[in-house]
Amino acid sequence: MGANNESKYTNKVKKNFGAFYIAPSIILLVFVYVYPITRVIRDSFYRFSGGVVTYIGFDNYLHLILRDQNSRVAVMNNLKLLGAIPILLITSLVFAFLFYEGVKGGKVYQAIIFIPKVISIVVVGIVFSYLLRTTGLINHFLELINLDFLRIDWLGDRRIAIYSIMLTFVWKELGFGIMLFHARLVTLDESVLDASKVDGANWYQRFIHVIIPQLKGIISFFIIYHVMIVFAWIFAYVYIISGGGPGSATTVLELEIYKWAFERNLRGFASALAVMLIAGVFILIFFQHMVRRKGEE
Amino acid sequence: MLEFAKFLKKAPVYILIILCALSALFPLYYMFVTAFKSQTEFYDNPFGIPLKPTLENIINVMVEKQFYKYLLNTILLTVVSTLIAIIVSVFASFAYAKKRFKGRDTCFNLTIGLTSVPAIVVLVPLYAVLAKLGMLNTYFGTSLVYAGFMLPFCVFVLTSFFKTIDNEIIDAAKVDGCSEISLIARIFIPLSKPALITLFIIDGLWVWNELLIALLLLQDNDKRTLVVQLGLFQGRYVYSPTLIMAGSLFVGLPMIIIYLIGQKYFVKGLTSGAIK
Repeated sequence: MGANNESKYTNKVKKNFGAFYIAPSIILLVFVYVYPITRVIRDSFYRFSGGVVTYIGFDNYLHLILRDQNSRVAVMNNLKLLGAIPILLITSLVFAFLFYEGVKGGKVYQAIIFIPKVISIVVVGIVFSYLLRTTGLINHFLELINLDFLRIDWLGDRRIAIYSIMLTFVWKELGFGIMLFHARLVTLDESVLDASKVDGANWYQRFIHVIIPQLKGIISFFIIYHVMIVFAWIFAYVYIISGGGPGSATTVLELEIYKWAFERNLRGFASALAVMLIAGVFILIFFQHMVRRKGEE
Repeated sequence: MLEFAKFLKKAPVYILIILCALSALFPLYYMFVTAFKSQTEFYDNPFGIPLKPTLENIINVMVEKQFYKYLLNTILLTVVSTLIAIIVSVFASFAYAKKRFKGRDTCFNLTIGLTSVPAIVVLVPLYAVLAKLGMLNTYFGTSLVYAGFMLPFCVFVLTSFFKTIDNEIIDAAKVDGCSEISLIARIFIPLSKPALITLFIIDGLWVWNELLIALLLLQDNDKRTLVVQLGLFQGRYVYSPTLIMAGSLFVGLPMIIIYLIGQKYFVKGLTSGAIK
């Protein structure tokens, strides 16, 4: 918003009075974000044990990076969960396009598909943990269609469990992706699409050559948004569905930070891991800004 | 005939969409039917519709397992924290949208930039801070934390909404001797009703469903939220799935109902941040 949007009124107002209006919000943000972040950085250089606090430099970081098996597993699991993003992206784009092209009763289907987004992860996690257990519905279904050999212990098998969490995540987020792309599609200029129809472009060609290029901006937003969720807001899924288990097979960064801080009571390690997480998230945001700026040029 | 040919051509599309809708509904169907089965029926007929539906589980969860208490806690927490967030951001957004002052853009950008800070990162030190201030296990302390987490999004939405309000209206009100506070109360708030309703719904939804913050900051049995209690409940009653599903239904259903009533606000609110 440039100067042209500001009226005589805005110019006449006492210059610094605005600070009075934003003060409550700034105080709240300092309390919830700014002070805790400076504190977590400071704490990451200390050891907290038995009520004694000692400065130990980078030892927490070194231990976590070089010697701690669990944090390595956690990072790997966060990375594995990124696999949900291409699945979500492609499926949501295809369905959004189908709805855009017009389907009878499309509104009703869309309303249904969005429901998982409004239910708590805790509820979703509990229901899925029942569906996925050895005697659960998925195995029951496989038996029904004589695919017994595919019966797997979805949550008990160390190699599979993280993918079961991924499945739950995809189920919950899919409707949001569809609605997001659909909301963007309806704002697009129809003439290009109509022209391509007249030119005899088929469904697939229209999708790839006309629709996708126009959605570039929102697709990159979608990807960054979900990368962020996978690294920073996945805690509840893991905590409820598997508790990080079996063993530490499904642990993620957030859960490790939680365990260091509130179960093992070693705040130094928790803080160091938290600093690494937030550094990663900020690098990601910086990267997104670069991409966006490039797109605007 | 032509109609039929058209239909055949579109049939695969319908099959895909119906499959998608069914897979979105199935887990909910499972939760719903299990909640109304007796323990014995659950083992005989795990996936079908209950043949002898019973309200036993729901009543047990609500009364004996005291979910009514956690429901009241959750409502209180949701309303208070959402109100704090929205009131604080109405003032801030007014200044960001309509006033000029030193550091305005910096403060605004920093506020928005905080959206992406992971909760767990600030909770590690915040837990210690709140403990020191004696604000653990209080709705006041927890509401402030929730409000802080909602603030960046609220300020973002409201500022862009306030910017669309015509400056001439403000000038006219000023000429009539309207103070700034009554300007906000009489002009800005009524004009931005749709945005405020959307925010109230989106923020309320988030607090209602949020696990991590409530899990850490409200641990007292008498203060817990529904979602936290449900998580504990799941571990405690492993052998009665019908009871657990009744609890899940109790937590999930209110939001589904509110969603079905105010659908447009949900979809608009949740997708708006991205479209802009």
